[in-house]
Amino acid sequence: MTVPSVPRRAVEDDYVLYRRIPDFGHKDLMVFNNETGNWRPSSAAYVFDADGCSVYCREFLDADRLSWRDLPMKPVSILFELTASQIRSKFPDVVHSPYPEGHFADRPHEASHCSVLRGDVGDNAVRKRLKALFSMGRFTNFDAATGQVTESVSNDSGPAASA
Amino acid sequence: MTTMMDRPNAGNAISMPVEYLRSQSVDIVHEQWRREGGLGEDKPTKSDLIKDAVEVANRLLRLPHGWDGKNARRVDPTVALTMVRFIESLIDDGSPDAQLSPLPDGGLVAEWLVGDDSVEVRVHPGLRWSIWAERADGVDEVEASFERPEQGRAAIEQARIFLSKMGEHVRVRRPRSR
Repeated sequence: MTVPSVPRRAVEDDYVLYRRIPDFGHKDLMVFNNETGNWRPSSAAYVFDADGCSVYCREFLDADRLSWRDLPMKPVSILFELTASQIRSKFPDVVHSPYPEGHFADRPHEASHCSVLRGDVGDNAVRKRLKALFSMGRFTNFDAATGQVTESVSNDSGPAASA
Repeated sequence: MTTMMDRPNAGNAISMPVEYLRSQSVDIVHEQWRREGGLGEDKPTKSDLIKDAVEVANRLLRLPHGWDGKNARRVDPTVALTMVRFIESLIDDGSPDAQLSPLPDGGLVAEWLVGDDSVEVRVHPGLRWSIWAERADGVDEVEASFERPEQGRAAIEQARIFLSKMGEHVRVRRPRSR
């Protein structure tokens, strides 16, 4: 299948990036804080491969008349949101990388695919940077079967409105 | 649910009139125990915590290939067994909750989080493993990686002591939906 040629777009600082977090009904890739009662993603939820860590840009989805609801949601049912500037405060960059290898043209949401670049740092540095990032952002939990939002929480300023 | 008969000494902390207690639900009694710092249901034993970890590990072992929607491998049973042994070495009565997550390579992560203090153990297929214990100020109490599970006893002991201190600040337990 031919992969469409999509021009690389600039990811502005205020753009929102979604990370899809697999969930099996038990928040298995989320971690509960035993002091505050808050949740944040597990470090296992942001895994970097050679191309970086995959995220999807809300503004690019909007431009293509798509939304987070068009992202594949099984087994995923949690989205963690960060702005590009939040990501850039801890990692070298987040760049538009449409249709990564192995993702085909019948998946239009892949045109909004972006990559968080890890930089030349070790695992512990990545872990620390992720930990700092996870104190920001917002996660949305929803029923994968119905698409209904069941929980939407901002780590910056307490509970947020449902997405 | 635990009853007063299960924890006979815990009721000594309660000085409210019997009539008042009778007019309330049993949960009021349990809440009073908890506030008095007694052995409430939110202070599990080491055995309870290990049992929880084993249950979660067993569940994660049943995840299919591609559980992440891509090419994630199934959790390696040897990794799961090794992780449970690490958890057993690290925790004590009242420790924070060990929270297990799968890794795409078939490994597992265990994380403990209390405020900004955290401990993380990663075990990969082949049993290469890493451990980090990080204080709220960002300083690492422990940062080490090993090629085999028999290695790293000193690191485990350091992390165990740190985790024990973290346990003193546990205020709320992970909801038991798991």
